[in-house]
Amino acid sequence: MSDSKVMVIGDRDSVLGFGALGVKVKTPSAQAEDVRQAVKEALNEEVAILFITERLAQEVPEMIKDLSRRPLPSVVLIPDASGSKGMGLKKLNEIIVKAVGSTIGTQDEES
Amino acid sequence: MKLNVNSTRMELMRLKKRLIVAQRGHKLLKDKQDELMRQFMEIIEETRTIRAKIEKDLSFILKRFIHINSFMGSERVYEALVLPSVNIDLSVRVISIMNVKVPEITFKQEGSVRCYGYAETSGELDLYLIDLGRIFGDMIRLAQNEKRAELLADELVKTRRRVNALEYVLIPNIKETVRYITIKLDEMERSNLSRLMKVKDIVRAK
Repeated sequence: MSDSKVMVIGDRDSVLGFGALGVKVKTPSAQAEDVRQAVKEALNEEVAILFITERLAQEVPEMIKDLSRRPLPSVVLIPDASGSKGMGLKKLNEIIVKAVGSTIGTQDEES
Repeated sequence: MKLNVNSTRMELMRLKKRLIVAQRGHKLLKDKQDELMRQFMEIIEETRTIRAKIEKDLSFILKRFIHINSFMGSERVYEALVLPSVNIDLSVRVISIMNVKVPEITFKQEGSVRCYGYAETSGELDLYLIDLGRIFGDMIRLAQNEKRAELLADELVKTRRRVNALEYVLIPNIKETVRYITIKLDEMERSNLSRLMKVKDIVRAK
């Protein structure tokens, strides 16, 4: 159980339920320092997938960016209980812009 | 821009060979770029769909937790969840797409998500965990795909830069230099010829 390589970082109300799925859960306070500490611990434990709520990811943007260059872990932004901020989609669009040189419109965007 | 080389026949031959190599390299890289782009678009399409679904569903599901929390009390919720009976078996392999190393993540879930007695918990918690477990597979898939997209995007940028460098810098430069050397050699040939004719005239005039 302890070697499950998935970790969720988020506020307690949003992510505690993942614990029942056998996923490690970390619930730091929303201070940048605490979040950074939590992410560092996750790296030390060599998790493969790191889910982090958008609210907390906002606190440590430079870490998230740094991690995206490595093959592992895969960092995924998830919305929390208070709703989505659209950061995940924004990140996806940034990737597309980088690769293609322009955005590719979907139905809800201008194409 | 002309390359800085001597205008000799040797150099000309060498440059012509280089041009052929550069053109072949350019064609190969271009093909690689096209294929990378195709793979990338496939992944992006899939990721978009999953991402949209998660954005929509996950926060809705997570929101229900607050209700459960207030209904059962946070202590009891914590007790119910703290010892999971589910074991997630996650295996990460590295596969290669167009020689880009990307992760392939598969996972197996064993055991029931309900790791608590029914007496102390509300039915809502059961439903909540079932929904959460269902969306979890999608989340893993999203993690895999987003990482792949990121890595492919990096490779695409690199390849595009190489293609452009060959197409707009190296190949035109070599072509220009080849032209320059050809012209210069021709010119030398002509000047030599006219000099010979002149010499011949002088010799004959004596």
